[in-house]
Amino acid sequence: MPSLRDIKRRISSVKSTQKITRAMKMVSAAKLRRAQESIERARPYAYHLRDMAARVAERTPGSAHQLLGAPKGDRVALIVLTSDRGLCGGFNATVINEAMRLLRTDLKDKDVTLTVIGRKGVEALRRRPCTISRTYVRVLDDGRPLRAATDIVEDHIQAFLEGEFDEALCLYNEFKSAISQKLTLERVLPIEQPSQSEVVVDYLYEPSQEAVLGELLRRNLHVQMHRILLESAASEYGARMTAMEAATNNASDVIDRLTLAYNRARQTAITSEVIEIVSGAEAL
Amino acid sequence: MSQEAAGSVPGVMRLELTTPDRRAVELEVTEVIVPGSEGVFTVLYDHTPLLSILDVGVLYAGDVQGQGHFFAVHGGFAEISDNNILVMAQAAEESAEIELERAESARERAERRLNARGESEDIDLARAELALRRAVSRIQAHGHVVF
Repeated sequence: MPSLRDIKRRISSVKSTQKITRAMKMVSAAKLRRAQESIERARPYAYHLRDMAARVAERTPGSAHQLLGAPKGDRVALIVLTSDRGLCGGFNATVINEAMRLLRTDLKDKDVTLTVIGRKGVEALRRRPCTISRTYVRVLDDGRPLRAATDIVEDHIQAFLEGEFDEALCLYNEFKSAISQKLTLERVLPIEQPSQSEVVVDYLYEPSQEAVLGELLRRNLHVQMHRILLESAASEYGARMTAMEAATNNASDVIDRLTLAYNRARQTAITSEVIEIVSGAEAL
Repeated sequence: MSQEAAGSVPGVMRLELTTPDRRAVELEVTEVIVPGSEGVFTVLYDHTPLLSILDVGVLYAGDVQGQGHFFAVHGGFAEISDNNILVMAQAAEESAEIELERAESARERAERRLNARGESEDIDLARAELALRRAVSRIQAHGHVVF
């Protein structure tokens, strides 16, 4: 039976934890709103640019560009997006477990190397049986997501063109809403060649078709990665907000239970004191 | 203001200007001047389908009310088909949003860096030049100058 003072100490400890989780929930909610706005602005641009690249690609004769086509071998670079900070519920565990599941199942026969984005993923995957070839941490800290995305993509384009891998996949949490994230696996490189369409009208290209296509494909990859970084960031804040909300509620429950136990213990103490006094008086 | 309405009125084109980090600007226009990579060109009604890489410069749009809109755009793409003009810029600012003082100081900074070349590396030079052209395009857009 814990003493009154022990219970009191625990109550105040849980209360201060609850203060922290409540503050973190508020902060995540504010950050989530900002992240949600930026992903909603980035999405139309990313989809437009992807469509534009597809329209040019389908007007271009087969295997027109080295970034287009189907994977030529079984070396895969798997890009895994995690967060830099913890306390976001199952956010990172979901991605990491799915990555490990892919390595055991779908990608079992392939030669997979990992690119890990986010400090939490780096820490967790370092101890797992897998090969990590690249890591990026704190990419969104400087507030220039497009530049970060460009750097990541350019590294991979270069490695791809040098033949380091035949295919790059990206595993990330797509932002659905504050309370739901969808784990998504997407091919980044090479870009799928759309089937040749019956060309109705071709464009005039400035400066030239090859130049426009090349620039479009590259830029498209930057923008897709930009979108993916923002999707993952918004998902992270959503997950953290949900997790902190749950933690705050749990803390309330614990405080209620402890308060009950405290009052009961106090009652017991008073009762036994009264009995002592009464029996003392009787003895006289 | 639907898409068909804009396309069906002769002489009126639909302009959509988007960047990765802001909401799209949509306008019904009669004339657009685009800073293409091979030079500035004007788009009028029934322009041939065209896809151009954008340079750093000023994009002018004359809307149906006869009002001019000036944007500083920094690279990207412009697609013209069926009297729809889709501009996917890497960055764009409308003239009213541009702070002239900041643009001026950016130009001075870039000019100083260009003048102080010599010992610096080539990469810095290219970046300074780009910064200078961006600053100039913003000053021009602010002053409603196309080129």
